[in-house]
Amino acid sequence: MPTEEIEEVSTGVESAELKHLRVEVRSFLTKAREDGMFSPHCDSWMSAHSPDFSRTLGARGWIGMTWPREYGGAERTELERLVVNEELLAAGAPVAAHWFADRQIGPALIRNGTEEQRRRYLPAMVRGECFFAIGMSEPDSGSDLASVRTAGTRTPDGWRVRGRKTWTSHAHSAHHLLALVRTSPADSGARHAGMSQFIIDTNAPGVEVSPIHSLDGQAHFTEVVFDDVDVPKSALLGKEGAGWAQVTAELANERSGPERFLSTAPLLFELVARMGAVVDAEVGSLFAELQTLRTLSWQVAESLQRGESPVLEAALVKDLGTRFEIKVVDVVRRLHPVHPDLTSSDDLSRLLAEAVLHGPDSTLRGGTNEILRGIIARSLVS
Amino acid sequence: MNEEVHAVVADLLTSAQADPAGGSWSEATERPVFDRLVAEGWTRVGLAESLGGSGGDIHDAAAVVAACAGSGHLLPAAEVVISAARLLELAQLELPADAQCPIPLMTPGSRDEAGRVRVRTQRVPWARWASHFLVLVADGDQTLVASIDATTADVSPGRNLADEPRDDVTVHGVTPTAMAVVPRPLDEVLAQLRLAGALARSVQMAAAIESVLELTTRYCGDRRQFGRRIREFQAVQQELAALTGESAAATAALTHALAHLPAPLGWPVAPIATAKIRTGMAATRAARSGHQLHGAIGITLEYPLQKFTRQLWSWRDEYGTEYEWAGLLHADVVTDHASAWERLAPVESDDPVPVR
Repeated sequence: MPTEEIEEVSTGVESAELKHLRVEVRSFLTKAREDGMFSPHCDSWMSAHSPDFSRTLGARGWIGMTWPREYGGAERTELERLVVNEELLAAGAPVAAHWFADRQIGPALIRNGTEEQRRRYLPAMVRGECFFAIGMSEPDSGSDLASVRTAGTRTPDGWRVRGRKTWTSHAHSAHHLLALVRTSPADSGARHAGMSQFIIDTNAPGVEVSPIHSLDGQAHFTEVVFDDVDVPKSALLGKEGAGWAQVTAELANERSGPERFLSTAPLLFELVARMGAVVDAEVGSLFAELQTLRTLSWQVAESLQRGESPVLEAALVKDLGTRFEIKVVDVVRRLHPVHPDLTSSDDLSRLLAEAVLHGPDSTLRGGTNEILRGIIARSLVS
Repeated sequence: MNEEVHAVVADLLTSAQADPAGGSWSEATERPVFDRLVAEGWTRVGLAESLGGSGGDIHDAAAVVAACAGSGHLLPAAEVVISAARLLELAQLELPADAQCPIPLMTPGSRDEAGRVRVRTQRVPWARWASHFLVLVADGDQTLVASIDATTADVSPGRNLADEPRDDVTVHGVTPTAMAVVPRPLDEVLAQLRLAGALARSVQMAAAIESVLELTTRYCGDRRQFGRRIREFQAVQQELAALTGESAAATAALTHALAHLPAPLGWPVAPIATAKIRTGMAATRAARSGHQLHGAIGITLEYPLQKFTRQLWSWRDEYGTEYEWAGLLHADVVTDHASAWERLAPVESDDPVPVR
């Protein structure tokens, strides 16, 4: 990852270069929306899945933009990436297809991957042609990730994987899955030892992906069963047994981004547009919270740029940000009552329905807020 | 914020520990502390040397104010170093060498034909400590800033929840010791002064919240119940994490505002409103969490938590509550030409109308 020095007092006030990039992305999105390429959705990074749109973004250089040039990236800064992602989410654009690859799988491959793995996956990810899902949770391993039971046993050519992953977003339309697998027997004295990460082809024999219908009637989640799936040695990411440390290193990328506070932004902006010249303090409070969250997320991006792993700060962003997202729903209901309806032709009604139905997930995914608060509290001691 | 300045002033204040027994505020013990800040030039930080200041900018001034607010000392630093300095800057009025404690009045005064200034106003921060009052007087589409010798004013004492002076002031026809003109209408100058006050309180609240977090973290690590340190209970951890989040948010909101300063032509509304709203919100929650986690010891006068929480409960309401500022912020963000997001993440410079 690039680690060049960045300006010190930059928080909140963007350089001309960043503003230029913002204009570029914003103009593209305005036109794309006018051309009917998408309509805005709440939670679009999780639920609005469009391989075509992802390919279009890839062609513009907005996927994997911080990655090294030799793997197709543009070696742009974390702040540039933040600007692009803020714009995409504020517009409610359909970015779910490539989101995980861009956010954490690519960076994980750059940190831990072999040369062959990087060359094989990263350039395709950058083009918006290679999508990844994340295989962490299991039926009996939710917040307690160290208890995963999906097991890899040695074979002459690699490993044989057997087990079950669940709540895996979009595995049915992903080409690969990065799975956390137990490769040595569980040791109660060292719970975090003996796990490894494997890149598994979702079409490999023995992989069965089935949809989980969530309460909005959609099926972004899947269950993935590994029925003795043979994976080659070349599918191991990083070191055997180092899976826990590798997964932990992804968490700052996973938890601090603008998707942790902009998921209901399209709803907020629709509300503000509807209110016209009517002014209300509750809306102003939401703006203040939003700008504060943007500043915190900006600081995490700067920290990532310096090559640090700001896990605590990322947990704070996610805890504060997801609570803010939910507050937007309440303010809309108070200030502009409308029946929430996923099928409504009225954007406010539809966006409200999306925000309400996705509300419970926002404080669960990526580590429940209670687990995150535990991480935050324990960090005060050390 | 200038971390070096913060560290030096914080050290000075720690060594000048005024109330070894905790307890409430005492004018007699705090006076020498303020005198020392004055003597070492810290109360003139952020004001240009050409105006009688020690130089530096608002990032240095904020560091001085934050160090004071975080120390638990009760001092008029915010009024002098941020609000008065901002008004002197707008008026290009030089601060006399003997002006140890200039305090701006938020109520405009009047001026008679002989040039004598009158004003009557309530709840002026630290008026009884003032060496000078800075009084605004409308003069057509300009504004006069008159410096009044504070000994010529009637000051009747009052206080806020933290026992900080909030005094009533009456100036009965006094000839100013100095005067200057801001070439902008009174309402704009008042708005700038109110922004300075709001920023000052935001700086103070963010610093006091950090002190609440420090005290509370330490207490949860020391206090034992049911045979364990209370920080080992998950319920306590959840509350402590919420407090940490509020402190981080308050600091970030302030950082956001300071990133837009200095702006000599006119301080912008949106970032400062954002800071006052978010630090005010955090003040309420942090005071609540801090007390809940401390249990009964926290509500005693002897234990220092109350110094910070009583200040937070006062400061959140001074220079506009978060609700007042939130209405203004919504109004500021809504324009005919742009969507909310275009205003929150602007791509063009949207500096407000220059004040000078």
